[in-house]
Amino acid sequence: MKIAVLVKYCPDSEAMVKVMAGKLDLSEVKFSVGPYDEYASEEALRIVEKAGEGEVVILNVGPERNNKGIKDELARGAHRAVHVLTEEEVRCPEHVARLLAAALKEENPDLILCGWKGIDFDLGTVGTLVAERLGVPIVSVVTRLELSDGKARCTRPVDGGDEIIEVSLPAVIAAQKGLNEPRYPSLKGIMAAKKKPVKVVTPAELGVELSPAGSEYISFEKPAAKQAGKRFEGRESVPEVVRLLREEAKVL
Amino acid sequence: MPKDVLVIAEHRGGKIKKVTTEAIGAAQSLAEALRSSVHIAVLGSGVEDLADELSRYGRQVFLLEDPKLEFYSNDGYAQALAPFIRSRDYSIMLLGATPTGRDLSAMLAARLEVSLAPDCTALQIENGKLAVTRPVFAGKAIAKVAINTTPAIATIRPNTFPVAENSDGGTVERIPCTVGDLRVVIKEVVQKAAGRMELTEADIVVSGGRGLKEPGNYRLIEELAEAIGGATGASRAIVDAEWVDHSMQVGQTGKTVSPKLYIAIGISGAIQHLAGMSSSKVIVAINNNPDAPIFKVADYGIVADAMDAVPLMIEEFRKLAVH
Repeated sequence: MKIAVLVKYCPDSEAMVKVMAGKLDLSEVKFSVGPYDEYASEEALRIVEKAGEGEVVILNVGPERNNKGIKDELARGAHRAVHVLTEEEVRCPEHVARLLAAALKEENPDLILCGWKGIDFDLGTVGTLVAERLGVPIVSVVTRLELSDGKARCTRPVDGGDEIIEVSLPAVIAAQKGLNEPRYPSLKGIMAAKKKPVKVVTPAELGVELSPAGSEYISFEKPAAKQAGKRFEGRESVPEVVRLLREEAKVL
Repeated sequence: MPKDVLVIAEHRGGKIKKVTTEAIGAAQSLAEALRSSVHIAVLGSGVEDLADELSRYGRQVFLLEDPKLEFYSNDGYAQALAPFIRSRDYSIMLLGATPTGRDLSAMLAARLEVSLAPDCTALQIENGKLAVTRPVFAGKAIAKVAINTTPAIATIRPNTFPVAENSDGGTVERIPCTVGDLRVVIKEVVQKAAGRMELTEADIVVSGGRGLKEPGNYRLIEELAEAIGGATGASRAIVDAEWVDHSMQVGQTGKTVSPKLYIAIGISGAIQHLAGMSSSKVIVAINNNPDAPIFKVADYGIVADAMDAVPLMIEEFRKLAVH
């Protein structure tokens, strides 16, 4: 079984994001593989380990620096990777999806896993765009996955509970937190990663020409600073706070 | 020729969701700026009464019914909606940024090959096109985005836009739709917590963290939420410690909530937690550590032990009989 895992390499959740003159400044920010993508790659590794056979291929779109994230995934156990190399970060999700889909058509995987969203631009659209390009179904925010007989049984949260959905493979399954606990790479894994193949391709080599993006970021701002609130001490202050919530804040 | 704005309604358990009425309100403002009208589409099976209810708000309501649409699936809804939308000329489509709304809007954007702006906190018309404001990097920055496609699709963050005003009665038109075999088949629905309020749409959220000390103490959060008519949430720490289910996590790898009142109890206020709740209108924090970062965002901060303060707060809320 071949499982393709789509990963994004983006600012870490701890990162302090700076905004200067309407633009994002990510120059001093630490990057890592997105947490939701880690659930996806962990699940791929578990499926292959359980089956005793198979291959996990990591796919990523982006600049040279993304190689670090790809290596991290190889260190965790993925077998090889395809890096669609671009000069700069590709912010347009439609462009990312076109590039991934082109690379995936060459790979022809049985299953495609990805995180349900990236934690930088919080879009959650690439998985669906890739699925549509490939003409396969997508199930998103999956918290449990079972495979059997060419079908995937996916659990996803709905209001007040879970629903269990079945799709035939190939399909795109987008991971949500709770799917598994991602492993840390071992020292052995880190060493082994150095020898694992990373195929580097350019958009031109994939035959993809990117048309103008359908939307554009006009500017960025820092969120409005919160004004200092009122401070109280001890349980005795509770009735006063409740009164203020009612009369001052008017939220009760 | 001014182009109309379409809202895709969301409903559950026979009721239109509040976020849909907010989306209609947002659509009304956009339509006014465009000098066009609001149309509403509702899908399902046996939902004529919902279409009638929606006709209070929009010029035209379109009812798309098929037995295969009884439960939401991105496959079924897209099959029904895509041909309908392609046959019209909408400038903008709006949905609520609920889990369903985010899934469906992504599918429609992909199927129709147009752009989508998810989880928007403001919408304007600029140069005849949709421009949106939306938080990025878990709210550490706010982006302004221009959408150039027609239609432009946007989902709105719940509890951020005012609900729609009633307009003169609109018409309900039934649109024939063909839904073929679904590739995504719902096998089972497992109810976990009957009647538990969906966090992302709640007006009031009470959350607990590690400061509660023991899993059993989470019941205080539940009692406080019940006393005030709120939903219950949790910090990542207690979700990872398995005190409560992940669906209750508020934060960067959990849910984003924007209630009018957020009460954080025994939560220190890590950046990732703030990412999920900082757009709450009023924030109350109870923590026994005066240096806890949560106090930087709290409108009302109480430095006290949760076990002391919360039972008293429950009593006070009960006295108010607020729900």
